[in-house]
Amino acid sequence: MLLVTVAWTVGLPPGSTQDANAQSPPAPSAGGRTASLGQPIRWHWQIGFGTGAYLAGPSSSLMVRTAGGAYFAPLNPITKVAEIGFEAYLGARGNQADGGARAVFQVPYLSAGIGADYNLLDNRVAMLVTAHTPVRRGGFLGRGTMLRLDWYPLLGHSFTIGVSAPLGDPLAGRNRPIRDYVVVDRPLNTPPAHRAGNPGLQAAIDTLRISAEWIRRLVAPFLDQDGRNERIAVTRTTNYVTKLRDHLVTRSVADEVRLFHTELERAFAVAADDASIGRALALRSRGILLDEVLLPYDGLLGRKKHHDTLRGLSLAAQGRFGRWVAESTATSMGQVEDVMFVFEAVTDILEAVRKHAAREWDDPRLVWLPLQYALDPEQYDEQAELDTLVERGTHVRFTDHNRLTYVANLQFMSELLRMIRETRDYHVLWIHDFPALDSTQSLDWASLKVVDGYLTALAARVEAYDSLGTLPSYFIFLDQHYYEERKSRILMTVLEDPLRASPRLPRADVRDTAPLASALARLRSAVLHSRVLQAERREYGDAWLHNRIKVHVNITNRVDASFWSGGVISSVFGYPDDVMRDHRKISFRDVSENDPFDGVAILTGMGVGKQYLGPGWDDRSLIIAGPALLQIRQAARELLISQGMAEADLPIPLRMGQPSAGDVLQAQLAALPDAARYDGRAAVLVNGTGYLPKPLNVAKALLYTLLPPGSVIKVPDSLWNSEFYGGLLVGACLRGVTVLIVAPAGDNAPSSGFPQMVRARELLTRLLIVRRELAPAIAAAGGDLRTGLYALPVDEHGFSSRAERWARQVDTTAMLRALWPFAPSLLPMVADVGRHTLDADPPAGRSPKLHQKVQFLATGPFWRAITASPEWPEFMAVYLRYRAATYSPQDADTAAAGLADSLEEIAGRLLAPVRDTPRAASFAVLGSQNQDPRGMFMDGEVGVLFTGAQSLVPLIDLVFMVGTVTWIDDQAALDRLIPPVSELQRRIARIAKDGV
Amino acid sequence: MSPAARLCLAVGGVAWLLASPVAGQIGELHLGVVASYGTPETYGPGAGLVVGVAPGRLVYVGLRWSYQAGATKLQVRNRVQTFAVDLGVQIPAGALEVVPSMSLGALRFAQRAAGASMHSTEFFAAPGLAVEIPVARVALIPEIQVYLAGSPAVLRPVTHRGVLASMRLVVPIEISRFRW
Repeated sequence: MLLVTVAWTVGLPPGSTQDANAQSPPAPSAGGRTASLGQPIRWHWQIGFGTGAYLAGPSSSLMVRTAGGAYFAPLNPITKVAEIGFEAYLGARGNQADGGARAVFQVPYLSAGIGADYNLLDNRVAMLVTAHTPVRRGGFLGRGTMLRLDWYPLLGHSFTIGVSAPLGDPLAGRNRPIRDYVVVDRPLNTPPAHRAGNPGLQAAIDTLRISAEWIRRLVAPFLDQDGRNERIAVTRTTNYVTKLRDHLVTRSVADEVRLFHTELERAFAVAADDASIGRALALRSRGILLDEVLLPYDGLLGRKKHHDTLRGLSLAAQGRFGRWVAESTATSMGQVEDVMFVFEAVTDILEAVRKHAAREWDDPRLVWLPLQYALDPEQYDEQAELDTLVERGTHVRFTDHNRLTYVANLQFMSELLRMIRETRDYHVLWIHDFPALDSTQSLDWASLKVVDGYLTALAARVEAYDSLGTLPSYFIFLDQHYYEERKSRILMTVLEDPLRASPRLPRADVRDTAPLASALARLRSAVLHSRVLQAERREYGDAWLHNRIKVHVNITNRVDASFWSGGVISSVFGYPDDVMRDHRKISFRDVSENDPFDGVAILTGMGVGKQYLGPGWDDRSLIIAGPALLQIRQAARELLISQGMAEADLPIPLRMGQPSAGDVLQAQLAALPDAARYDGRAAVLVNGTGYLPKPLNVAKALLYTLLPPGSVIKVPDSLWNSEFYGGLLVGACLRGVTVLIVAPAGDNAPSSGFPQMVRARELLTRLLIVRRELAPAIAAAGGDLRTGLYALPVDEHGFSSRAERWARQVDTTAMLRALWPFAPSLLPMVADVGRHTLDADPPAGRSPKLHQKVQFLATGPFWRAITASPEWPEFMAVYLRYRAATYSPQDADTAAAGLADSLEEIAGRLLAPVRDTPRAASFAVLGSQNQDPRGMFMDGEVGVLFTGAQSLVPLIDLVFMVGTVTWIDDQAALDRLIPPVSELQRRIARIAKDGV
Repeated sequence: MSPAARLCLAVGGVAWLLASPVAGQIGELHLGVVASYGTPETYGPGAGLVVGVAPGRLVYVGLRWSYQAGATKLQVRNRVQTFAVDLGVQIPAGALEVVPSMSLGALRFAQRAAGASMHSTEFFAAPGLAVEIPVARVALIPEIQVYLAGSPAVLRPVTHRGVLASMRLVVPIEISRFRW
């Protein structure tokens, strides 16, 4: 008991992350415990020490006080709106003992509060104003400690100043990165500038400078101009776009890039006094700039930067280039200085471009240096080349031999339950929403079903324990924001201690509690009747048993008052890390480094809960098996460590294992009954929450800016607010890419608050300006830009309503028929589905919400080859059957899984003739990230980038979805579906744009 | 021209030169002059300088200094200097901005009577209402405020509370968002 008390006092509660042995804790099967973050405490205890002056008496006296108390947030603590606290204190005032108690109301967002202080010495109540700040991230003295000021304005301005520390919260001050930025550059040396001996160099450098700036504007045009009002802002965008138009009249994007490379060669040729040597120098310099400057800097996209300059990166590049020049015999000694002058001038140009971009975007996080400075178009027009560039930019490797299955949202629930049931070693549910209550404040039946799934699986495994000798470990990673918002504590408490939990849940009726009670009773009975388990309990104790028979709940990104950013001093005018969430949605089981083919994951855009099921929620998931899962497993480890768990405390099933050798992997693959289907190439890109690395941003930006002319990019999203991604896609159109952007109309937006809709409307308005002003330039490049709104009405006749809409719209939309040469062959079939079941399905309850975050990107040769395939009618026929089977829970069809397999087979046939097509490349991206600044800057996100046949199943899905959207050609149509708002709302939305 | 007037003109000129639009702006810097008139005779006519920022053009935070010439009666001369922080919320209303505001700061009362002079500094709060009217590249901001000041310890009692009307002439300069 004494040990427990001491541990609690220093912030190490029993069963916490800190109670495991430091180096090699025993496995649960040998009496060890599995560490978890658990659920956040409701009452936050703290202790403080302060000293100050009592100024209300005839003479001032020194005050010294030690205070202790507890604080409670009556509302969602993430909002930081209110906190109530009670404290007692002891100390001395002058030469008298002092003591008292106080009640405080705090607004944590303001780091300040007001209260009433009853002082024993004075025997009266005084008003107290209190303020605190961590001063630095993680706490004034670390561990979440605060600098605290207590002020008594009615006691002659008496005050104390001191330090307060959290008690019983081992994660305080440790569950976020201490640095909220990344250091770009700290040059170790500033060498003297190189001097040109040849006066002819300057002309080429000047041309390079101008050309580099135009390339930046054309690849990543800035469209987020502001003004005193919307009209001025739009006028500025129009002016900006007009300048692009005027420039494109004289020189296309391709010509501009060609000019840059030609001038670079010319500059080196002048410096080396030889054209062929100039070409070699230019080629080498571009390679070094790509390696040392462009990719490293672009790899920081979306991250807050300190020492934001290219000087250090450029110096490294200069050193490498200088070494190469010195080692080569091509350049004479007398010309080296001129050659180095050119290289240095190019790095100066890149630095100038970076500065311009940072100023224009008003945000260094959004600076993207076009890779076109270093790459010829021929260097990124093949699948392998693009794959390699993505790998180099993100530092994430593609893996082969993955099995990928693209499924509709209804299948997520059944796959999750199946995964829980089939878990052998461990299972992780990494989710952002697991609601206990629905919007009517009733128990969410879908969540309850998942709880039942856990309990039933645990009971079954305990029942088999005596014969099998193994028990699986279940983990849940759930972000605190929605955990609080959706009262998930109700369910997590059951899962965290099923041997003691009560089935009588708040707001539950007998229909809810009876199955839960039954599942709990079955589990307890199984535990009671397991002879082995009872024997182990006898040796290892009750606490071990409760740790063994549970779901290890890890509530992440907890409220922590010691992490702020952007403030003048810490929390003063700053914003807390608490606004940043983990938006990842993954479920995976059993995979390990020594057998990457053992196990499976499902990655999705949705959460657990009934709101995500059925026709009212358009979402998609990806089932993955194979080596790509190891990247998810690694991300899970990194999550726990980023949340404050020591590496030594990581749960054994999640620890890094010994990777298998190549031949062992081959054997493991060959042993699979369906080995032939493990033919997918995929990379899992994980954005850490908050200020951690953001490789998913980099991969998207890289593909948007590099896909060659003739490519097709389809990007639907539920939160299409990112002017940055929008700008990159406009740049793609200017290079000759066909881009389809789809956002939800107001009635179809899952997140339809006015800030989100204002920002979406602003972006779409500017894209209309681009279409209007740059149409000739886009057409001349061979590109197209289309913006559509997912404005589907309630499905009056179930899925057939969608089919009917598709047939009608595709039939009358020339752009779609031009894009899809196969469309005429599909029209009768889809129209028939629209008619066939016209009266069969009941009306859906609400307008469908677009939530799918699935993108498809393909080069021109790839697109032309697959759209000419004769497989499309069958592809669409199977797809329609699949969608009908997964349309609503009532229609849930056991054939869905088989149909998903059929789609993959047809996709394989579709892809077959493309495999040998030169410059054919394609990617699909599926994940949790929205096309919004929040997804880029703040939230934890995951996306799978995959290629090959599996990437074509999302394509048929997008073909169907894109065929049902409303294409926007003018402002009036946009205003009808996303109405304009007041100027005040526009301003609020703009100032809050990073968070929406 | 008095030194104060020359200073006001210089500030206004610099502000005018600085006024140029920036693309990624999200707020405004206001530099300008203020002319005012307080109904209590202690205040009377006055003039001064203002500088402030309007992040996102949603709120306004500024500094104001003004010198009120007051009145001289029966050989008692009153003068007041205002040192204030102006806080306001900008509410767009068509082409105008309505700005409910609150000024907080200190008033320095000065009184000279019968060859003796005395100063007294008092805290004050002044709730008010302003309207920002854009005119070409400047903005006119008429404002009505109620000055609630503490009672100054001066030789002869003065009326220290009352209504003060002012007109600011500011040059709004677009600025990018604040970072530090």
